[in-house]
Amino acid sequence: MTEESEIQKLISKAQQQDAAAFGQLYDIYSQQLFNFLLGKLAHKQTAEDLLQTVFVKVWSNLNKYQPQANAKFSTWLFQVANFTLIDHWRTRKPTVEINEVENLVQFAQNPKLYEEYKYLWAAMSQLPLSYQTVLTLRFKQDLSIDETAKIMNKNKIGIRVLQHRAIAALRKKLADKL
Amino acid sequence: MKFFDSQPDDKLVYLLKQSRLDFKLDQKTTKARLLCAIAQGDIDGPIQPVQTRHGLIFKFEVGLAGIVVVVSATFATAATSLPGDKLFAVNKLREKIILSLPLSAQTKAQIQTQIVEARFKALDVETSEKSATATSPTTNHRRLETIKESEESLNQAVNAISANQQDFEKTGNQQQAQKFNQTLSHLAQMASTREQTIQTLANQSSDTVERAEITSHLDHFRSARQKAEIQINISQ
Repeated sequence: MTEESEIQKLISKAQQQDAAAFGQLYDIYSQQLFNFLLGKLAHKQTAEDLLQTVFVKVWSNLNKYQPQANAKFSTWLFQVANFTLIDHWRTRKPTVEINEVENLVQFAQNPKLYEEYKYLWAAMSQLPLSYQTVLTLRFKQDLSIDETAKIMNKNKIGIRVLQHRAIAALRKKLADKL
Repeated sequence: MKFFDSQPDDKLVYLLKQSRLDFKLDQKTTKARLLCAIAQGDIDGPIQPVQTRHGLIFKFEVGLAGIVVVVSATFATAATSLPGDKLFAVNKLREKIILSLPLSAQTKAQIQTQIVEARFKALDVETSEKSATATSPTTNHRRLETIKESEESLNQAVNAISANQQDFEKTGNQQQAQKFNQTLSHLAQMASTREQTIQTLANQSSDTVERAEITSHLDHFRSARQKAEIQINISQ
Protein backbone atom coordinates (compact mmCIF):
# COMPACT_ATOMS: atom_id res chain seq x y z
CA MET A 1 0.00 0.00 0.00
CA THR A 2 1.34 3.45 -0.90
CA GLU A 3 2.17 5.73 2.03
CA GLU A 4 -0.02 8.81 2.46
CA SER A 5 3.07 11.04 2.29
CA GLU A 6 3.92 9.63 -1.17
CA ILE A 7 0.36 10.23 -2.26
CA GLN A 8 0.50 13.84 -1.07
CA LYS A 9 3.60 14.36 -3.22
CA LEU A 10 1.74 13.03 -6.26
CA ILE A 11 -1.21 15.30 -5.47
CA SER A 12 1.05 18.36 -5.24
CA LYS A 13 2.46 17.53 -8.67
CA ALA A 14 -0.96 16.84 -10.15
CA GLN A 15 -2.18 20.18 -8.80
CA GLN A 16 0.49 21.75 -11.01
CA GLN A 17 -1.24 20.03 -13.96
CA ASP A 18 1.21 17.10 -14.05
CA ALA A 19 -0.91 14.50 -15.88
CA ALA A 20 1.65 11.72 -15.28
CA ALA A 21 1.37 12.21 -11.51
CA PHE A 22 -2.42 12.16 -11.86
CA GLY A 23 -2.09 8.94 -13.85
CA GLN A 24 -0.24 7.38 -10.91
CA LEU A 25 -3.07 8.38 -8.59
CA TYR A 26 -5.44 6.68 -11.03
CA ASP A 27 -3.35 3.49 -10.84
CA ILE A 28 -3.53 3.50 -7.04
CA TYR A 29 -7.24 4.21 -6.56
CA SER A 30 -9.17 3.20 -9.70
CA GLN A 31 -9.66 -0.46 -8.69
CA GLN A 32 -11.08 0.44 -5.26
CA LEU A 33 -13.45 3.01 -6.73
CA PHE A 34 -14.50 0.65 -9.54
CA ASN A 35 -15.34 -2.08 -7.01
CA PHE A 36 -17.41 0.47 -5.06
CA LEU A 37 -19.32 1.63 -8.16
CA LEU A 38 -19.88 -1.73 -9.89
CA GLY A 39 -21.04 -3.34 -6.67
CA LYS A 40 -23.96 -0.94 -6.65
CA LEU A 41 -24.64 -0.37 -10.31
CA ALA A 42 -24.52 -4.03 -11.43
CA HIS A 43 -23.66 -2.82 -14.95
CA LYS A 44 -20.04 -2.77 -16.08
CA GLN A 45 -20.27 -0.14 -18.82
CA THR A 46 -22.11 2.28 -16.53
CA ALA A 47 -19.58 1.67 -13.76
CA GLU A 48 -16.70 2.40 -16.16
CA ASP A 49 -18.42 5.58 -17.36
CA LEU A 50 -19.01 6.75 -13.81
CA LEU A 51 -15.41 5.93 -12.89
CA GLN A 52 -14.32 8.20 -15.74
CA THR A 53 -16.72 10.91 -14.49
CA VAL A 54 -15.30 10.63 -10.97
CA PHE A 55 -11.70 11.08 -12.14
CA VAL A 56 -12.64 13.94 -14.46
CA LYS A 57 -14.24 15.72 -11.47
CA VAL A 58 -11.19 14.96 -9.33
CA TRP A 59 -8.83 16.36 -12.00
CA SER A 60 -10.87 19.55 -12.44
CA ASN A 61 -11.27 20.17 -8.71
CA LEU A 62 -7.87 19.01 -7.48
CA ASN A 63 -6.82 22.52 -6.45
CA LYS A 64 -9.77 22.66 -4.06
CA TYR A 65 -8.48 19.61 -2.21
CA GLN A 66 -6.63 20.43 1.01
CA PRO A 67 -4.99 17.67 3.06
CA GLN A 68 -6.55 17.25 6.49
CA ALA A 69 -4.99 15.78 9.58
CA ASN A 70 -7.71 13.20 10.16
CA ALA A 71 -8.70 12.28 6.60
CA LYS A 72 -6.83 10.55 3.80
CA PHE A 73 -6.99 11.47 0.13
CA SER A 74 -9.04 8.31 -0.47
CA THR A 75 -11.77 9.75 1.79
CA TRP A 76 -12.15 12.72 -0.56
CA LEU A 77 -12.14 10.40 -3.61
CA PHE A 78 -14.89 8.23 -2.15
CA GLN A 79 -16.86 11.38 -1.34
CA VAL A 80 -16.72 12.41 -4.99
CA ALA A 81 -17.60 8.86 -6.09
CA ASN A 82 -20.53 8.67 -3.67
CA PHE A 83 -22.01 12.00 -4.81
CA THR A 84 -21.52 10.97 -8.45
CA LEU A 85 -23.36 7.72 -7.75
CA ILE A 86 -26.22 9.55 -6.02
CA ASP A 87 -26.52 11.99 -8.95
CA HIS A 88 -26.60 9.04 -11.34
CA TRP A 89 -29.40 7.32 -9.42
CA ARG A 90 -31.41 10.56 -9.40
CA THR A 91 -31.21 10.92 -13.17
CA ARG A 92 -31.58 7.28 -14.25
CA LYS A 93 -34.79 5.85 -15.67
CA PRO A 94 -37.40 4.95 -13.02
CA THR A 95 -37.47 1.32 -14.14
CA VAL A 96 -34.36 -0.62 -15.05
CA GLU A 97 -34.48 -2.92 -18.05
CA ILE A 98 -33.81 -6.52 -17.05
CA ASN A 99 -30.85 -6.80 -19.46
CA GLU A 100 -29.22 -3.75 -17.84
CA VAL A 101 -28.63 -5.66 -14.62
CA GLU A 102 -25.74 -7.99 -15.29
CA ASN A 103 -24.52 -11.07 -13.53
CA LEU A 104 -21.48 -9.75 -11.75
CA VAL A 105 -19.76 -13.15 -11.57
CA GLN A 106 -18.43 -12.62 -15.12
CA PHE A 107 -16.57 -9.47 -13.94
CA ALA A 108 -15.18 -10.88 -10.69
CA GLN A 109 -11.41 -11.44 -10.61
CA ASN A 110 -12.14 -14.47 -8.44
CA PRO A 111 -15.41 -15.98 -9.77
CA LYS A 112 -15.29 -18.82 -7.23
CA LEU A 113 -15.24 -16.37 -4.35
CA TYR A 114 -18.06 -14.43 -5.93
CA GLU A 115 -20.19 -17.57 -6.33
CA GLU A 116 -19.56 -18.44 -2.70
CA TYR A 117 -20.99 -15.14 -1.55
CA LYS A 118 -23.45 -14.54 -4.39
CA TYR A 119 -26.39 -14.82 -2.00
CA LEU A 120 -24.91 -12.00 0.11
CA TRP A 121 -24.34 -9.73 -2.91
CA ALA A 122 -27.88 -10.43 -4.14
CA ALA A 123 -29.40 -9.58 -0.74
CA MET A 124 -27.32 -6.39 -0.48
CA SER A 125 -28.38 -5.24 -3.94
CA GLN A 126 -31.98 -5.17 -2.73
CA LEU A 127 -31.25 -2.76 0.10
CA PRO A 128 -31.67 1.03 -0.22
CA LEU A 129 -28.61 2.78 -1.66
CA SER A 130 -27.61 4.40 1.64
CA TYR A 131 -27.63 0.98 3.38
CA GLN A 132 -25.54 -0.55 0.60
CA THR A 133 -23.11 2.36 0.76
CA VAL A 134 -22.54 2.22 4.51
CA LEU A 135 -22.03 -1.57 4.46
CA THR A 136 -19.66 -1.33 1.49
CA LEU A 137 -17.60 1.50 2.94
CA ARG A 138 -17.42 0.08 6.47
CA PHE A 139 -16.86 -3.62 5.79
CA LYS A 140 -15.79 -4.07 2.19
CA GLN A 141 -13.58 -0.99 1.92
CA ASP A 142 -12.72 -1.28 5.64
CA LEU A 143 -13.10 2.42 6.35
CA SER A 144 -13.54 3.91 9.82
CA ILE A 145 -16.75 5.49 11.14
CA ASP A 146 -15.04 8.87 10.80
CA GLU A 147 -14.09 8.37 7.16
CA THR A 148 -17.50 6.93 6.30
CA ALA A 149 -19.20 9.92 7.95
CA LYS A 150 -17.15 12.34 5.82
CA ILE A 151 -17.87 10.42 2.61
CA MET A 152 -21.61 10.17 3.26
CA ASN A 153 -21.82 13.71 4.64
CA LYS A 154 -23.29 12.58 7.96
CA ASN A 155 -22.12 12.75 11.55
CA LYS A 156 -20.64 9.76 13.39
CA ILE A 157 -23.81 8.99 15.31
CA GLY A 158 -25.77 9.03 12.05
CA ILE A 159 -23.38 6.49 10.55
CA ARG A 160 -23.64 4.20 13.59
CA VAL A 161 -27.43 4.31 13.38
CA LEU A 162 -27.39 3.76 9.60
CA GLN A 163 -24.98 0.84 9.98
CA HIS A 164 -27.14 -0.75 12.63
CA ARG A 165 -30.25 -0.46 10.44
CA ALA A 166 -28.40 -1.69 7.35
CA ILE A 167 -27.19 -4.84 9.13
CA ALA A 168 -30.67 -5.47 10.50
CA ALA A 169 -32.17 -5.05 7.03
CA LEU A 170 -29.57 -7.35 5.45
CA ARG A 171 -30.15 -9.97 8.13
CA LYS A 172 -33.88 -9.85 7.41
CA LYS A 173 -33.34 -10.17 3.63
CA LEU A 174 -31.12 -13.21 4.16
CA ALA A 175 -33.61 -14.77 6.60
CA ASP A 176 -36.44 -14.25 4.08
CA LYS A 177 -34.50 -16.16 1.44
CA LEU A 178 -34.00 -19.23 3.66
CA MET B 1 -29.06 4.86 23.54
CA LYS B 2 -30.26 1.31 23.10
CA PHE B 3 -28.63 1.06 19.65
CA PHE B 4 -25.16 1.48 21.01
CA ASP B 5 -25.66 -1.06 23.78
CA SER B 6 -26.24 -3.89 21.29
CA GLN B 7 -23.36 -5.53 19.47
CA PRO B 8 -23.42 -5.57 15.69
CA ASP B 9 -24.15 -8.88 14.06
CA ASP B 10 -20.57 -10.19 14.18
CA LYS B 11 -21.14 -13.16 11.92
CA LEU B 12 -22.76 -11.03 9.23
CA VAL B 13 -19.97 -8.46 9.46
CA TYR B 14 -17.47 -11.30 9.14
CA LEU B 15 -19.22 -12.55 5.99
CA LEU B 16 -19.27 -9.05 4.52
CA LYS B 17 -15.52 -8.72 5.06
CA GLN B 18 -14.86 -12.20 3.67
CA SER B 19 -16.88 -11.42 0.54
CA ARG B 20 -14.55 -8.59 -0.45
CA LEU B 21 -13.37 -9.03 -4.00
CA ASP B 22 -12.04 -7.05 -6.93
CA PHE B 23 -13.87 -6.75 -10.22
CA LYS B 24 -11.98 -6.87 -13.49
CA LEU B 25 -11.04 -3.40 -14.55
CA ASP B 26 -9.15 -2.75 -17.78
CA GLN B 27 -7.04 -0.11 -16.07
CA LYS B 28 -4.77 0.44 -19.07
CA THR B 29 -7.58 1.29 -21.48
CA THR B 30 -9.65 3.40 -19.08
CA LYS B 31 -6.56 5.30 -17.92
CA ALA B 32 -5.46 5.94 -21.52
CA ARG B 33 -8.94 7.29 -22.32
CA LEU B 34 -8.78 9.67 -19.35
CA LEU B 35 -5.23 10.91 -20.00
CA CYS B 36 -6.03 11.37 -23.69
CA ALA B 37 -8.98 13.60 -22.81
CA ILE B 38 -6.72 15.61 -20.46
CA ALA B 39 -3.98 15.94 -23.12
CA GLN B 40 -6.45 17.10 -25.77
CA GLY B 41 -7.79 19.75 -23.43
CA ASP B 42 -11.28 18.23 -23.36
CA ILE B 43 -11.22 18.53 -19.58
CA ASP B 44 -10.28 21.69 -17.65
CA GLY B 45 -7.27 21.14 -15.42
CA PRO B 46 -7.03 21.96 -11.69
CA ILE B 47 -8.65 25.39 -11.34
CA GLN B 48 -6.51 28.01 -9.53
CA PRO B 49 -7.91 29.71 -6.37
CA VAL B 50 -9.25 33.28 -6.74
CA GLN B 51 -7.73 36.37 -5.05
CA THR B 52 -10.34 38.68 -3.48
CA ARG B 53 -10.12 42.48 -3.58
CA HIS B 54 -9.28 42.62 0.13
CA GLY B 55 -6.17 40.50 -0.42
CA LEU B 56 -7.46 37.48 1.49
CA ILE B 57 -7.42 34.18 -0.38
CA PHE B 58 -10.57 32.07 -0.04
CA LYS B 59 -10.37 28.40 -1.02
CA PHE B 60 -13.69 26.61 -0.93
CA GLU B 61 -13.81 22.94 0.06
CA VAL B 62 -15.25 20.36 -2.33
CA GLY B 63 -19.01 20.25 -1.82
CA LEU B 64 -19.11 23.78 -0.37
CA ALA B 65 -18.80 25.62 -3.67
CA GLY B 66 -22.30 27.03 -3.11
CA ILE B 67 -21.25 29.08 -0.05
CA VAL B 68 -20.83 32.82 -0.94
CA VAL B 69 -19.36 35.30 1.55
CA VAL B 70 -21.29 38.59 1.28
CA VAL B 71 -19.32 41.53 2.63
CA SER B 72 -21.62 44.40 3.59
CA ALA B 73 -20.74 48.07 3.02
CA THR B 74 -20.07 48.46 6.78
CA PHE B 75 -17.74 45.48 6.78
CA ALA B 76 -15.96 46.80 3.68
CA THR B 77 -15.34 50.14 5.41
CA ALA B 78 -14.34 48.46 8.67
CA ALA B 79 -11.75 46.34 6.87
CA THR B 80 -9.29 49.26 6.94
CA SER B 81 -9.99 50.33 10.54
CA LEU B 82 -7.22 50.08 13.15
CA PRO B 83 -7.15 49.35 16.91
CA GLY B 84 -8.63 52.33 18.71
CA ASP B 85 -10.94 53.26 15.77
CA LYS B 86 -14.71 53.16 16.24
CA LEU B 87 -15.22 50.52 13.56
CA PHE B 88 -12.38 48.27 14.72
CA ALA B 89 -14.82 46.04 16.63
CA VAL B 90 -16.69 45.50 13.36
CA ASN B 91 -13.41 44.59 11.67
CA LYS B 92 -12.69 42.02 14.40
CA LEU B 93 -16.18 40.57 13.92
CA ARG B 94 -15.54 40.32 10.17
CA GLU B 95 -12.30 38.42 10.84
CA LYS B 96 -14.07 36.13 13.31
CA ILE B 97 -16.79 35.32 10.75
CA ILE B 98 -14.21 34.55 8.08
CA LEU B 99 -12.28 32.24 10.42
CA SER B 100 -15.48 30.43 11.41
CA LEU B 101 -16.16 29.44 7.78
CA PRO B 102 -15.52 25.77 6.91
CA LEU B 103 -12.09 26.50 5.41
CA SER B 104 -9.10 24.20 5.45
CA ALA B 105 -6.45 24.45 8.17
CA GLN B 106 -3.95 25.80 5.62
CA THR B 107 -6.26 28.59 4.46
CA LYS B 108 -7.06 29.58 8.03
CA ALA B 109 -3.32 29.66 8.82
CA GLN B 110 -2.81 32.05 5.88
CA ILE B 111 -5.66 34.29 7.04
CA GLN B 112 -4.42 34.34 10.64
CA THR B 113 -0.93 35.25 9.46
CA GLN B 114 -2.35 38.12 7.41
CA ILE B 115 -4.28 39.35 10.46
CA VAL B 116 -1.10 39.31 12.56
CA GLU B 117 0.76 41.17 9.78
CA ALA B 118 -1.97 43.84 9.70
CA ARG B 119 -1.80 44.27 13.50
CA PHE B 120 2.00 44.50 13.41
CA LYS B 121 1.81 47.08 10.64
CA ALA B 122 -0.47 49.20 12.85
CA LEU B 123 1.95 48.60 15.73
CA ASP B 124 4.86 49.84 13.60
CA VAL B 125 2.99 53.08 12.93
CA GLU B 126 2.19 53.59 16.62
CA THR B 127 5.71 52.79 17.76
CA SER B 128 7.50 54.87 15.09
CA GLU B 129 9.76 57.58 16.50
CA LYS B 130 7.29 60.39 15.78
CA SER B 131 4.26 58.62 17.26
CA ALA B 132 6.10 57.22 20.26
CA THR B 133 6.89 60.67 21.63
CA ALA B 134 3.33 62.01 21.24
CA THR B 135 1.33 61.89 24.45
CA SER B 136 -2.35 62.52 24.92
CA PRO B 137 -5.06 60.33 26.48
CA THR B 138 -6.35 59.40 23.01
CA THR B 139 -2.90 58.62 21.62
CA ASN B 140 -1.91 56.61 24.70
CA HIS B 141 -5.16 54.63 24.58
CA ARG B 142 -4.71 53.91 20.89
CA ARG B 143 -1.10 52.80 21.42
CA LEU B 144 -2.09 50.47 24.23
CA GLU B 145 -4.97 49.02 22.18
CA THR B 146 -2.61 48.36 19.28
CA ILE B 147 -0.12 46.54 21.50
CA LYS B 148 -2.92 44.50 23.07
CA GLU B 149 -4.44 43.54 19.70
CA SER B 150 -1.03 42.57 18.33
CA GLU B 151 -0.38 40.32 21.31
CA GLU B 152 -3.83 38.70 21.10
CA SER B 153 -3.67 38.06 17.36
CA LEU B 154 -0.17 36.58 17.67
CA ASN B 155 -1.29 34.31 20.52
CA GLN B 156 -4.35 33.08 18.63
CA ALA B 157 -2.38 32.44 15.45
CA VAL B 158 0.43 30.56 17.24
CA ASN B 159 -2.02 28.40 19.24
CA ALA B 160 -4.15 27.48 16.23
CA ILE B 161 -1.25 26.82 13.87
CA SER B 162 0.72 24.81 16.48
CA ALA B 163 -2.32 22.61 17.12
CA ASN B 164 -2.76 21.92 13.40
CA GLN B 165 0.94 21.23 12.95
CA GLN B 166 0.84 18.67 15.76
CA ASP B 167 -2.18 16.98 14.17
CA PHE B 168 -0.42 16.63 10.82
CA GLU B 169 2.71 15.29 12.51
CA LYS B 170 0.68 12.69 14.38
CA THR B 171 -0.79 11.41 11.11
CA GLY B 172 2.64 11.31 9.45
CA ASN B 173 1.96 14.13 7.00
CA GLN B 174 5.40 15.69 7.30
CA GLN B 175 5.04 17.85 4.20
CA GLN B 176 2.08 19.77 5.59
CA ALA B 177 3.60 19.88 9.08
CA GLN B 178 6.70 21.47 7.56
CA LYS B 179 4.61 24.17 5.86
CA PHE B 180 3.04 25.05 9.22
CA ASN B 181 6.55 25.09 10.67
CA GLN B 182 7.54 27.74 8.14
CA THR B 183 4.49 29.82 9.06
CA LEU B 184 5.37 29.63 12.77
CA SER B 185 8.95 30.62 11.95
CA HIS B 186 7.70 33.66 10.03
CA LEU B 187 5.44 34.67 12.96
CA ALA B 188 8.27 34.24 15.48
CA GLN B 189 10.61 36.39 13.35
CA MET B 190 8.01 39.17 13.01
CA ALA B 191 7.30 39.06 16.74
CA SER B 192 10.97 39.18 17.67
CA THR B 193 11.55 42.50 15.88
CA ARG B 194 8.52 44.09 17.59
CA GLU B 195 9.41 43.06 21.10
CA GLN B 196 12.28 45.52 21.36
CA THR B 197 10.14 48.48 20.31
CA ILE B 198 7.39 47.55 22.75
CA GLN B 199 10.02 47.27 25.52
CA THR B 200 11.31 50.74 24.59
CA LEU B 201 7.76 52.14 24.83
CA ALA B 202 7.34 50.58 28.27
CA ASN B 203 10.64 52.12 29.42
CA GLN B 204 9.67 55.56 28.10
CA SER B 205 6.21 55.61 29.66
CA SER B 206 5.91 57.93 32.65
CA ASP B 207 2.52 56.55 33.64
CA THR B 208 2.96 53.65 36.10
CA VAL B 209 -0.34 52.01 35.22
CA GLU B 210 0.31 52.28 31.50
CA ARG B 211 3.85 50.92 31.93
CA ALA B 212 2.51 47.92 33.87
CA GLU B 213 -0.06 47.21 31.16
CA ILE B 214 2.47 47.44 28.34
CA THR B 215 4.84 45.14 30.26
CA SER B 216 2.05 42.62 30.84
CA HIS B 217 1.19 42.53 27.14
CA LEU B 218 4.88 42.27 26.27
CA ASP B 219 5.21 39.22 28.53
CA HIS B 220 2.34 37.49 26.73
CA PHE B 221 3.81 38.57 23.39
CA ARG B 222 7.15 37.02 24.34
CA SER B 223 5.46 33.80 25.54
CA ALA B 224 3.65 33.43 22.20
CA ARG B 225 6.89 33.90 20.27
CA GLN B 226 8.69 31.39 22.50
CA LYS B 227 5.84 28.92 22.11
CA ALA B 228 6.20 29.16 18.33
CA GLU B 229 9.97 28.62 18.59
CA ILE B 230 9.54 25.63 20.90
CA GLN B 231 7.05 24.07 18.48
CA ILE B 232 9.47 24.60 15.58
CA ASN B 233 12.33 22.97 17.55
CA ILE B 234 10.22 19.99 18.65
CA SER B 235 9.27 19.17 15.09
CA GLN B 236 12.81 19.34 13.69
